[in-house]
Amino acid sequence: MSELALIIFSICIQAAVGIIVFVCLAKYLDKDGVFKTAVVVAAGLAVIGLLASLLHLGQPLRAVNSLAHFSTSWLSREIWFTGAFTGVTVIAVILVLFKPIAKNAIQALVTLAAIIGLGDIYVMTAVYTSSSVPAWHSGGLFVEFYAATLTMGAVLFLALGGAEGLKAHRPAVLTVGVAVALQVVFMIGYYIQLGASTSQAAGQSLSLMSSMSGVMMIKWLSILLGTGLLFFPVQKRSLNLGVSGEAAAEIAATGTVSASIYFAALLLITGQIIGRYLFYAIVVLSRVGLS
Amino acid sequence: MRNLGFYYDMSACIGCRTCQVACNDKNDLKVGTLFRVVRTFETGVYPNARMYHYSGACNHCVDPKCVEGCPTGAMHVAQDGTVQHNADKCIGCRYCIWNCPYGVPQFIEEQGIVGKCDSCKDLRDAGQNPVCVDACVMRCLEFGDLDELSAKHGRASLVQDLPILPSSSTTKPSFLVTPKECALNPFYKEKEV
Repeated sequence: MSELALIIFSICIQAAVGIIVFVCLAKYLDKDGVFKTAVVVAAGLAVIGLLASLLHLGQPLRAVNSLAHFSTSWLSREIWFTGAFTGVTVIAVILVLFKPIAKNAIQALVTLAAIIGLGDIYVMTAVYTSSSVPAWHSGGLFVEFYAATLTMGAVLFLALGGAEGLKAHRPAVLTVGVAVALQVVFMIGYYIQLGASTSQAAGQSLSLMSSMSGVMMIKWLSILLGTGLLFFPVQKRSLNLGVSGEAAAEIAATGTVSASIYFAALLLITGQIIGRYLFYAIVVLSRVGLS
Repeated sequence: MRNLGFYYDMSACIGCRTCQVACNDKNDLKVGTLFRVVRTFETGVYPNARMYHYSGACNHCVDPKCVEGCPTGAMHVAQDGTVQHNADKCIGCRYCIWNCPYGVPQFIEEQGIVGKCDSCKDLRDAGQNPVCVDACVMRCLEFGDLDELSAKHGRASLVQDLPILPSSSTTKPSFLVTPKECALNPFYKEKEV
């Protein structure tokens, strides 16, 4: 677990970006929505992620030096984007908590944070795809990272949004379905690409991945079960309301989120965390004799 | 700008690792950290089994990915064209380790930063050779202007690409090798010595 700090960093930032994207969407669907809990949690996750990134550094007190090369370094760009996203989200939280009447300003800040955040995910992926690690040379990683962002964001938004998030319930569930379907398709392509690579380092990465096939199975089972629970929530009573309609009906009736959504959130987030662990665990660096 | 780099005569190398030891000594490296590494490879099968060695260090690339990726500017191209590392700027993010296709930068745990071969810039500035060059008992290593080294050692016999190395097109490394014929065989196996 040598990359624990990076797992915490990337998962927290992606979850925070995902939440903000759905808060942004929900605010356009329901102008009166405040989504206080969701925005506060997103800002908290962003701050935790940013602090965790410092733990990865050998010299964390010099971290500010990393801002110096935006023009050439994807890593420098990642820090800029993550810093900007966290900053805007924290300002939005301050307004939500202390000046909730400034609705237009909050709306603008959340929208800005969502745009910066989605840009941050692209930059975050490019940090890895542009490196010399053969196992990371795949466009499929963009799908993996965006899918992680949107699935974690959607389930956390649903779990934290309560009755307020009702209007965004169906789009959020459908987004999870589409994101997971794309993640599955692109990751199958990624595994095939890794197997077909002539690079010995990529071959070793594939061997490492095969040796952890049990862990990978848990990843996909968690993600697929979590998605299934969102689409077909376990109900106390049977109502014929169609896809995701049952959960929405329960929220409307009781004002609380069903246990199914919490369980789906737990499964999906666990799956994405295990996936991120595998992402770092299969790293085999090129070196002399291992091209 | 002159293109400075190492020349390595693989055909004369006996794999004694004196260059590696001299480098460790000069840079006061602890066990597990190597700025120059000699590896040994086998090819073929009996009765045509062959063996060769490769002494590798920083290739001071023309398009160094470590410099491009470094967020702090610690990894930089010096005025003489070699790739140098500023320890005071380094934050120990290790991104250069992921970026160098030759696996050159090393993370030094006790210092919390990376380090790598600087081609003994201090010695060169004083008019001397890098320590590995002077330590080599077989005189396999040289450091200097690659055009001059290329003319000296016969352009036609020199290579920058070997089956054991990543493609030179990625970073345009500044090094030249006189290979042994068996080193061009794509079917090789690293031999632990």
